[in-house]
Amino acid sequence: MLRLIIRRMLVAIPMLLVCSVLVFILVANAGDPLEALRGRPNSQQAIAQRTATLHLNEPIFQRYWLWFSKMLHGDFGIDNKGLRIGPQLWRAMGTTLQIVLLSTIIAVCLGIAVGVISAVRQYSFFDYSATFVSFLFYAMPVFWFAVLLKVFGAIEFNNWLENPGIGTAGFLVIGLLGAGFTSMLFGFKRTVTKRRRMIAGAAGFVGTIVVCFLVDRFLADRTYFRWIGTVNTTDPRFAHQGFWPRLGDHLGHLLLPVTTLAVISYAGYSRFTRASMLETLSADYVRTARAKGVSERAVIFKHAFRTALIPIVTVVALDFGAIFGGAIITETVFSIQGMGKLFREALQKDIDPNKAMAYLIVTAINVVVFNLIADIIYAKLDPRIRHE
Amino acid sequence: MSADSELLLEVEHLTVDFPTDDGVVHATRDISYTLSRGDVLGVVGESGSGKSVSSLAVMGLLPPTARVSGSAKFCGQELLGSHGAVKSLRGNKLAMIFQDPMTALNPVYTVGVQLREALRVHNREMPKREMTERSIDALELVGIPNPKDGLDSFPHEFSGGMRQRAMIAMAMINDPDILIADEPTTALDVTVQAQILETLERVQARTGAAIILITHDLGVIAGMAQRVLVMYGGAVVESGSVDDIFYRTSMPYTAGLLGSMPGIHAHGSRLRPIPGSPPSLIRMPPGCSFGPRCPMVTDACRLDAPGKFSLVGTQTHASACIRRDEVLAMDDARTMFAATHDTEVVRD
Repeated sequence: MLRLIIRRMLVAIPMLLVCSVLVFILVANAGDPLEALRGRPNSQQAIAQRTATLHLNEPIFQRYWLWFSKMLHGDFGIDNKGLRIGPQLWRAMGTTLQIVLLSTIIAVCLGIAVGVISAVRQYSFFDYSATFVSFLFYAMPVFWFAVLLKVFGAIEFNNWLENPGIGTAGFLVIGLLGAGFTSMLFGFKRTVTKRRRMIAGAAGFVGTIVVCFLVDRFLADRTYFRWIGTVNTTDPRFAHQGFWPRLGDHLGHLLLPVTTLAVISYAGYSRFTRASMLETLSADYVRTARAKGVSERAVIFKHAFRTALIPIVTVVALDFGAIFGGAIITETVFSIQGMGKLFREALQKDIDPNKAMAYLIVTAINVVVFNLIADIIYAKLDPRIRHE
Repeated sequence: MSADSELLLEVEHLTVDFPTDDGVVHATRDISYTLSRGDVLGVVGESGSGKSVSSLAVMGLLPPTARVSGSAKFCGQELLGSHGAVKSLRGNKLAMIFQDPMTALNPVYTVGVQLREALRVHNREMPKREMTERSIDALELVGIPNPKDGLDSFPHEFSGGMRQRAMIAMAMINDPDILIADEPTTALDVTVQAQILETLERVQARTGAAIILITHDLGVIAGMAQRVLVMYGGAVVESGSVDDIFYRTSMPYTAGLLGSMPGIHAHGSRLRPIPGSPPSLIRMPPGCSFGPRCPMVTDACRLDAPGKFSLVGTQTHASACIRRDEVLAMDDARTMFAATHDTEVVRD
């Protein structure tokens, strides 16, 4: 096991070196960092200064080496505005990490749970509904979903909070959802008859309406603060308040971007888990376990799920590395000061080489590191790899 | 097979249907047999003849879509339908091993973990040390060298033959009364096949368990079984002792099976394959299901009537063929099928 880890790490090092060379060459040829300055009058001095800081007169090998050796010490240089990139980068990483981590946790938990149930109850009502929802989310363009969330999840919801109340249509819709949910929960066992499911659904409908009515009475004549944020991750008005108000404000801002990312990853994970589970559930060793007399629950979790988990964990680890650098659209829609924003800033009219390279190399390191983690987890979970 | 030996399993009119989009698949129809302690019952037939399905039904291992009717009683206890009875007996009194040992063991657990699991499911209170001892004994019984190390091995570290031995050990660990072996040697090399059969014989001699041996290899049947069920198209078409089946054949299909097996009789004889292919289990031919492939088919064979093609004969030897007496009277029933034209017998 230790040998495997060391071997994989040794492979990762040349990979990162190649990455750094590629990043440097690509960015060096991506545009003229002096372009905007050239158009301005009396910019000779500014051009000379930027040329000096970026070492533009030196040969490319020397520039690469200057950049690379500094980077090894954690120094990413300064951007076109003369600000140090390091602190900006760490701040952006922190923000992005919060969103990506939260959304991944939510997506993995929900996706695996729904995927497992879908596979165990293949072709049931639950399975069909879950499949429909997954494909809906999967097919939805991120930017559009994010904008929809902004309009209905934030603006409309905040308006509603100022004068809350459930209207007739709301009663009906929530009641029907409650009915569907209870009948599904109740009818989870195959042996339950249709008639009983209908009764459960009716009871669910009545129950939900009663709860709605109580909530409606409670909400009446109150007014609430516009809680859900659509821009940035904090509201400056809360900067000087206590811990709890600030946390509440922060969560209100994280809610929508995290939901956006989670929903899209969830769609993938639930489908992947379902497929993986279906494969292991029909495996010979699952039949063997049943033949041994193992209970159905243990068959599903100890035998089918344990083996199905191997590819799932790998995909999650790889995805995490990739999303980290790739949440650009979501960050843009919600104006979040994260990695995506950093990258977009670097690609303005005159390219900001140090900033772009900092983003690219950090993203590359992430992908390589999570590949490594995926490899290690894979080996940990699958003895056939471990003993290779 | 004495009459006073303890009756373990009594299967009556076992019928299994699978509703599918294309129609109902009649996987097995009206199967009846009994099994006593110490018996080895061979079940032989082509792929799709329902031999595996009938045992999976007894074990309660069919998918929930299967419609099972009839009765299967273990020591008087009904196994079918009542989910509870078969659940507590499965792996305990009734054990089963499968065709492909390469995939039948879970790749992520060691052999020891899987053996202990089989024990623990039925003996919740057993101390760990005893479980380990019993596991070592079980591996020793099936002839795995260094059984102690074997416990810590993963299945992929075992060869195919070793895995099948481990499967047998796992099946036998709770000392079952009945072991169902579903094509236990099909996926193995010929030399390993012999070892596995020998292992099964040794295990049976030691424990006295009854064995249901499912196979398409008549050679395996000849070596081990006392009684044989020949299955075709989901039904039993001939049943009898090994000698009845091999030397007093009274069903053309059995004769065809014997004729297509190399080297049972005189060396250098030609193979006599059965023409055609097995019937669709969704749309069975009218009359005798073997009729379309049978060289002795007559118009009477194509006319259906209730009970006309059910087993007729004595308790020990019965055939579903309406011309059973004519088949029985033949010197060598295999000659009813045309021999292959190749002079050399092709073996695979």
